[in-house]
Amino acid sequence: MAALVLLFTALGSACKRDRQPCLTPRIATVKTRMVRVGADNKVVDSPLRAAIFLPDSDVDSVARLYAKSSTFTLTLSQLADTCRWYIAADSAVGSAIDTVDFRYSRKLNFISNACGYNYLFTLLSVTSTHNFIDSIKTEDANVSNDASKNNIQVFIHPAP
Amino acid sequence: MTRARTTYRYLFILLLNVCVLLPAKTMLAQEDTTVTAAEDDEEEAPARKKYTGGHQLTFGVDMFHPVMAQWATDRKTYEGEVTLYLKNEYYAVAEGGWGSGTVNYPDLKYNTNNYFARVGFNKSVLYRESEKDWDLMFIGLRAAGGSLSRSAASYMIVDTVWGNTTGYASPKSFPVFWVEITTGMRVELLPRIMAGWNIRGKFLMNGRSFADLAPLHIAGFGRGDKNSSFDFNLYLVYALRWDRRASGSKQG
Repeated sequence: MAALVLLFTALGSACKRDRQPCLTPRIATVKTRMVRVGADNKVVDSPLRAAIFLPDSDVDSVARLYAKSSTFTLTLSQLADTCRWYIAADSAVGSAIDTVDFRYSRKLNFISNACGYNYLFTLLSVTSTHNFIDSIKTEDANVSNDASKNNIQVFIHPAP
Repeated sequence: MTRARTTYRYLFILLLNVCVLLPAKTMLAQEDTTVTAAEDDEEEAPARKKYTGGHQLTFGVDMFHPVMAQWATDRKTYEGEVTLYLKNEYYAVAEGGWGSGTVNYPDLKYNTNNYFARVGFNKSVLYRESEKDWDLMFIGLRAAGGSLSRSAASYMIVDTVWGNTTGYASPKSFPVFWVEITTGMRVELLPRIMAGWNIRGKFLMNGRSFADLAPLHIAGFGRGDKNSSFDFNLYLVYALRWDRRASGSKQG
């Protein structure tokens, strides 16, 4: 009898179900690649030296300062179908700043019981001002948790 | 001094011999006994009788999940079984039950309720040695189905950049289908009172139905967000038997 109680206690402890860790990104991000047209008309990466990204959000968001990189991830607002990011090409004073406007549709997506829900997006248009950005090309309009797919290419003005 | 060293050396060799030879002798003796017993069996063992008749109807309740629910309070399962002995060690089985699950995470909350039924058979892999012998070890198959109701699910998506989102996923009902393979045993502890266990491997047939919110717990199956599940039951069984005299015995 004692062995049975011990068995049940052990099984009970083993069966106590804690929430499993979430191993999937909860926020779908726009994978962004800064590029320029090279001398032989090939598209090549164009790293920004110390870019600053600031969301036009009601939340007290902190600007993100990136080290030199040509790839960035931007989040879209789940509260509206449009959102805006301010991008400074460099952290130096007087550096060119552009605004990038995203228009998209949202779809609620159940990830798992461990992660809960998130939103997936479909980009409808991406526009910008043209201080240091020349144009924006949408490569993959489906914004998901798939980190392997690049969503947009941002063409930078060639350096003078 | 030299004599003492010689004495110790002989003593060591003696102990070594005892350690090596005694187990070897024991093993040889066991082999002899086994061979002798096998020969005796061949010569003297009577042909075993195999009883396949009789009638038995059992009613069982699962004791395992209600006890487990004392620890795992987020899910409950209550189930029972009815078996009917057919013939040739086949038992028709009907099982059923109900249960519930509760998910109460900071960013996801909902409840589920479901009932389920299973039908199938058990095939005993042991011979019954007498007409009173109803102990069995079996393998079996089940087809199972049920209906699950999920309450409205409230969720929150945390976003530190643009702000959190909260909402509700509307309540929904799903049919659930799965198949099981099972093995287990039943032993008669007291006259007509049996106990035993089942181990079950379960395979969900319509997992895609849960794409919009896979229930964490489906009573009778297990995790709704997995396509396969493993389960255990501990049954307490009452047996009704009749027409014992008519249960003819056959030579196996």
